[in-house]
Amino acid sequence: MENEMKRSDECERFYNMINAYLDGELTEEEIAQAEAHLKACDSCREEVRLAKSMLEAMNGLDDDIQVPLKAQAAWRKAIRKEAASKKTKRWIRAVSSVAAAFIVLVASTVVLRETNALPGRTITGGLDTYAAVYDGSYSSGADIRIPPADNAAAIPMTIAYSEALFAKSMRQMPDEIIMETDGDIPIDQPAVLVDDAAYQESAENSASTVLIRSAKRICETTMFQEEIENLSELVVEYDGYITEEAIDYANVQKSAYFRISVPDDLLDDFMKALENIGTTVSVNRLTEDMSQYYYDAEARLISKRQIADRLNALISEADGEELSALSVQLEDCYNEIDEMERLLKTGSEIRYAQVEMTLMETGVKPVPTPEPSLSERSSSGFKQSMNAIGDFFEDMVVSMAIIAPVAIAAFVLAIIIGCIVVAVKKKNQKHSDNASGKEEI
Amino acid sequence: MHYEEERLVEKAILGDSYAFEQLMEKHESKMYAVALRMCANREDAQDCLQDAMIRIYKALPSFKGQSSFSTWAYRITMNTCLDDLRRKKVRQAASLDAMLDLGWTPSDENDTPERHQDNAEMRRAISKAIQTLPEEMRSAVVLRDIQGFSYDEIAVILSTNVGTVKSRISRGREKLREILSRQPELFGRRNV
Repeated sequence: MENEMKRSDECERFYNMINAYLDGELTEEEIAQAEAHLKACDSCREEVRLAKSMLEAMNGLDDDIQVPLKAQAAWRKAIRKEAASKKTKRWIRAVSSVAAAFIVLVASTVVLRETNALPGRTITGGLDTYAAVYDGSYSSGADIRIPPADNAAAIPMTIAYSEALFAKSMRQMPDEIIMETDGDIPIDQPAVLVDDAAYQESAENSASTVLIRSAKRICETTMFQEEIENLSELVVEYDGYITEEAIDYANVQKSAYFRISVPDDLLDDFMKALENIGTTVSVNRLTEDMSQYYYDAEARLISKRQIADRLNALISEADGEELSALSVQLEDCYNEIDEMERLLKTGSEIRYAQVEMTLMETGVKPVPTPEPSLSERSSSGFKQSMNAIGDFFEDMVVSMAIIAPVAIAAFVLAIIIGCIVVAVKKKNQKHSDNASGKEEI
Repeated sequence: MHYEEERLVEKAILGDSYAFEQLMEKHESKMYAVALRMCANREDAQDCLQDAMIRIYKALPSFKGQSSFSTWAYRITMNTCLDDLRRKKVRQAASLDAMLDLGWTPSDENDTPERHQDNAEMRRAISKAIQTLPEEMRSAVVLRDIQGFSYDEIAVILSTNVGTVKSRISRGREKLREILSRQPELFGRRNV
């Protein structure tokens, strides 16, 4: 019994090392022990014999297995398809990247052009353009392409320019005076509203309605210069005065704009007399309730004086075109002060009516230009289009230069973020590999 | 990695499918044999072979040479088979019939006809016995005793450690011996 137990323990020990024995992984000492046991134990010897013949039979059991031709063809076909789709995907990715970059560049160029943010590029509109056109010297640092002259636009824009320039200079002043202007406010509606106390006071003094008449006349003449002189004489004759005058000699067709104040009771006679000047194109007459204007007069007089002081201060520092524009503005300011003082002094004794007079020269025939042929038109159209494309591409290059620093910064940032993401992923992967003892494919 | 193999891998990564075919040519039979041992039938084995090939092709750029290319490729093959098995919930595969369908015959031509016949029956018996093993043991035994991979290689292929591999092989062989000892006419077992 004791003998059997002993044998059983040895068999158990041998059984535990049978695989190492079969795989030849035992030390010499262990092999000697194992073989000694095998000599003595039939059961273990039989086990080893069976194991050896089994392993012998298994060794190379599948060596002759061949992949069926159909399966060989199938996986090769699948791989070629995969390779083709990979190529297509790579191609699509490349094309879409280039397209996206191009779209971004085009969009940026368009935006930069629209916002006039491209250095050295034409400004296509806006107050500055008109300023440059009609002032002749003003420059904002950009090349200015003069748009086709338009008489109707010319005069208001001249006013708008001086208003804007003034507004600009006012913005540079301390905030004691609040300017409210959009650059195109008619003079009879004050652009400046200040000093609430004075305004209140004059409003309290209001008693009756004040009606002011105004008229607009547009006429044509062949004797442009003479008629302007006639008009000046007529104004003096009717105790009026010219508050504003703009004459455009720059175009083939000259034009002039006058804003005239005449005593209200003489307006009808004055308008009749005006009929002798040029040929009437249109006449408008208007009666406005100007009560508020009168009530405001005192308050506005105070603010106008403040503005005049400011303008004087500005003029002492200004030079060049700003100086001349500010001088004009100051002169207008003084005119208005005079007008308001007169108004306040005389009360309702003398009221002035406003007359706007536009005089246009006629009879100047434009030089007839021969009608261009189809080929000329086509070639000029083509040239125009090519120039536009050329300009656009030039702008694109400039835009690229503008975008470059941002793009480089974004690229560097993307690389940094990419590196961080990859590092985190790797770390996570390592962690999960360690946890599961598996590696991802 | 062998220079030629490395060159083919690089070309395949760049999208050269013919280089990939060349690269996999010498592995496909072994991959298919492993798949046959692991899958339920011949069709599944062929599907697994194709899937494994595509997975290898797609994963090529991530192959950094941390193991030999063949070990890496067999690992993907084995994972594909195991995934397929799990997907189909077929634990006890029986591909023996499929193998016999293929007209597979033993290769030892020097054997006498009588021995040949004995061998054929013995191999059939072994194949049958292998199919009864659980997939974890089966995969380890197939890789070790049929395909002749080292324990280290098997550990990489099965994404586990050498100790686990040894234990699986040991238990697998024990089970096989147990099954085969019931057929003493083939293995000449006298008494167990």
